[in-house]
Formats: sequence, structure tokens, C-alpha cells
Amino acid sequence: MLPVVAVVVLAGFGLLSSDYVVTVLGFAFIYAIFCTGLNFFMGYTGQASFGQSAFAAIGGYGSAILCADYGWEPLAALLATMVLSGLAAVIVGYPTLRLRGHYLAMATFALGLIVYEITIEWTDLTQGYMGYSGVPPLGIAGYELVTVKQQLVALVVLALFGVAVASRLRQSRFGRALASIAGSEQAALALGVNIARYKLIAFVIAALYASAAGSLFAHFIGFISPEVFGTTMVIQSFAMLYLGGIGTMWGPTIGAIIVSILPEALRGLKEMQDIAYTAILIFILIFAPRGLAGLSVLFKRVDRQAREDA
Amino acid sequence: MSAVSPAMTDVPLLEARDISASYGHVQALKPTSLKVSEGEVVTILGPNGAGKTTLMRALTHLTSSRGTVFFRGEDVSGLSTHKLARRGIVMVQEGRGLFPQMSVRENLVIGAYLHPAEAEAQMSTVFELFPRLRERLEQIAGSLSGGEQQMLAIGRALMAKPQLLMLDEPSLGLAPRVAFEILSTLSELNRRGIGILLVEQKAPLALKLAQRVYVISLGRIVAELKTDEIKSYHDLARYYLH
Repeated sequence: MLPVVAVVVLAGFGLLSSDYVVTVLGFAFIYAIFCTGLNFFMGYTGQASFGQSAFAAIGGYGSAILCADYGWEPLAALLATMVLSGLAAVIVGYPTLRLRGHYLAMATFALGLIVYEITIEWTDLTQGYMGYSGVPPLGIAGYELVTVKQQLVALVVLALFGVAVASRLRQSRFGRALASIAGSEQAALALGVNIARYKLIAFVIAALYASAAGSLFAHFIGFISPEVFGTTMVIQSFAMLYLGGIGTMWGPTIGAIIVSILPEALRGLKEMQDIAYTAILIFILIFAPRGLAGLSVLFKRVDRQAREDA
Repeated sequence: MSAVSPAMTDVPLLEARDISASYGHVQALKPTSLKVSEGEVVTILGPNGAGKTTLMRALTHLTSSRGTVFFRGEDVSGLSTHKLARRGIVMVQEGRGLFPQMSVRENLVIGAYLHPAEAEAQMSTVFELFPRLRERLEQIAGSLSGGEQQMLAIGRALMAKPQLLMLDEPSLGLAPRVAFEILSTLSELNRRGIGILLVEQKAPLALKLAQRVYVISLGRIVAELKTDEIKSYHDLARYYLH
């Protein structure tokens, strides 16, 4: 419950702040959705994917094209592109997920690069480096969320919804099957878990979240270009996942918020900004190797010890 | 678990015909045949590197293999490991294959993946056999002692309701008393009707439990013996030196 309160308080702070702060928080919650999905594949299932940005690109460009060129409702476009991303994930994942470890990482990285190149080269569809502008803001049934503060509220609600769905799935039989794959693939097989199928489902779920995040980005900013879905997105999302706590329920959201806000909070340091930012990230990873969400285990242990001592 | 008397039926519980396996160009297991009857305990004995683990992995398709495997007369050669588990063939691997970051309870619950509705009842059976697991229920599996980890590995396999339990060196790294305790529990499981195929290096323990022994050396079975026919360990030693 505490993380939900913290997220709501943070969103409340954003609503009382400038549009600039709201925009930063908006990015944070879009990344939170992206990383919550990635956590399914990398955290819960213990696999490596460097290519989820590909599905974010499908979501982003899909929503942009459907809404700007064909006048679709943003919500309908978001859902349609999620379906498209899910299908793409099945087609790509079926052969790719036979690979393991570094080979899987390289294959997924190639997937990200291929889609990135497509967004640059297929100019008739994506307008290349020029990017795609004129994407309408989020809305439903003709009602548009015209201000960034309205959109921030929608993003917070969607991010919390994403975490709730992930939490529900994590605690289900499906979630336990994923955890067994992360623990030991051979032991999972011996217990009757069809690991190939579950890996594929986890990959597809991650793709659905990524696609939704890509669509939301397009609607939030009103413009997308290939750089948005490049390697930076992959690195950024990994930093968020590991800093927040990979495999934990709230880790991706915590990581997304910290990694998005921290550079802005350090902006006053000017040329020292990057050094301070990196130093803080390293400091956190040294003292909280299981991520910031992992610290909650430590607090619980200290609390239990204190009660036992009393 | 229903009691099944040995040799109740002519159809073996498990039968492997000419099963072989290779790692690259090295044939680790030469064409080998074996049988486990209903309610029987069979041990595969052999020195290090003889091919015992490869045989177990080949039987459960954790390693790609050639040859035919029948389970209760059904050809299961083409089935993958998880489908064999659905048929009732469950293996406890060498090294136990626990989920070390999870609690004892979580390990057991995952064990009941195929039978989630019966998890509670099955857990009671596991606690009856291994009361210590109940005491350690919320403890992280990786922090258990070696003996407790082995109990958990077997307990988790029991959650999958096996008809044939395959164990790869369950006594490995355990104190003799703990190893004896574990093997006594396997004996109890066998009395309850579960067929057991066991890989062991410790012949005295294995012979106490098994009704039949296959001796494997250099990737092939060199002897099949009934344990009551083995008069002394010297009978076995000559096969080890084969």
C-alpha cells in the first residue's frame, strides 16, 4: 500500500508544479509501464531481452499513424497496436526464444536494431528522421485530455493498473511457473512446466506493455522520431529495472521514477551533473544490489528483529 | 498414493530399449536397455563418469537421446520432459535443482504445478515424511542444510504426484546418518507404491534399498543383479574395475 500512496503523493506534487515537472513525471510513468512489462520477461522469468524497444516503436508509430493519418480514437489505436505488437512478439519470439543466455540477448538486440532501422529507412511510413508529428493527446469517446496535468493523471492510473495486473499474474499459477523458469529451467521442466510456452507468453506480455508505453509516449508528446526507440531506451530501461529492483513488483516503477527525476534534480550542478548522476547510481547499486525495492526486505528484517528483541 | 505390489502386472512401469546419448562426437551412453517394474526400486551403480547421470537425463529427455522409452507400455520416446512429468515420471536432479531464493513453501507450491487443487493435501503428505520441512516452511531454500535441501527436493518432486521417482545421487554431499534417513524415506515411498529409479555411488546404501541393480561402466550397462544375489561388495567391485 505504501508504494501506491507514494506514487499518488508524487503525482499530487506534480499537479501543483510547473508543466516541465509534469512532463518529467509523465516520462517516468511511461517508462514505469515499459519496465513493468520488461520485468515479466527479465525479472520474473529470468531471461534477457535487449529488444523491447522494438515493440514500443510499433506502439508509438502505430498510434501516431492511425490517429494522425486515419483519425482513429487514441484508445482504439493503443489497443490495436498492442494486438499488433503481441502478434509480432509471437512471430519473433517463437524461433528466437529457443536461444538462451547471451545468444538470446544478441537476437533480441538485433530485433531492436532492425525495427530502429525500419523507422529510419521506411520514410513513406515513418517519415524517417523527420519524425511523426500531429499525434493527438490521449482521450476517449471524443473527450481529449488537453493539458499535460490531465494526461499525467491518466498515466499514473495506467501505471498503477499495469502494476496491479502484473502483481495479480505474479501471484497466480502462471507467475509461479515463470518463477520456476527463472530459478532453474531444468527443474521447472521436471515439474511439468512447459517452459517454451511460458517464456513466449512472458515475452508477449512484455511486448504488450512496451507497445502501450510507446503509444502513450506518442500521445503525451504529440511527436515521435526514431531516436526515441533507440539503444538509449534499452540502456535507460535496464538502469531503471536494476536500480529499482528486478523481479520485484514495485522495482520497475521506483527505478523509472528515480532514473527520470534524478538528472533533473541534479541539473543545478551544471557540468558536474553527469558525474554526480552516475556516482549516485553506482552508490545505490553497491548498497542496494537487489535494487531499491529490495531494501524493503531489509527493513522488514530489522523490524522483525526489533520486535523479537522487545 | 495407492499401494501397488511389485510385479503386479507384466507391463513394466518403465522400459528403455537401446537408449544412447552423445555430447558432440563423444558417445557418453552406448545403446542401453533397462526396466523398472511397478512398485520396484532399481539402482544404477557405477563410478564417476560412467554415464549414470547421462542415462537419467536421456530417459527424461533432458539430454537428446536415441532409442525407445516406454512408460506403462506407452511409447513416450518423443515426449519432452514436461510431458513426461504429466505422465508421472518426475526426476530429482543431481545438485537438487531447488529454487534457492524462494522459501520452502514456495518451492513446494511450485512442485504442485500440475496438481494445484491437491497442493494442500500433498503438502501434508510431504510433512508427514519430512517433518523438518514444516518447521522450515518460511525459510529460504538456499539457507537450508544439505540434508534439508535434499528433503525439500524430494518433497517438491512428491508434490507432482510421481508414479516413477527418479533420483540422481540423493546422498551426494550428505553425512552418512542423513543419507540413511533420506534413503529410508525413499523406502517408505516405495511401500506406498511409487516406483523408484535411483543413481547412487554409495553401494551399501543403494543395496539396502533396491531390489535390483544395474552396474554401469564406460557408458554401458555391464551387469544386472538382484540385490539378494549379491553376497559381498567384491561381487560389485569387479564390475567397477571392468
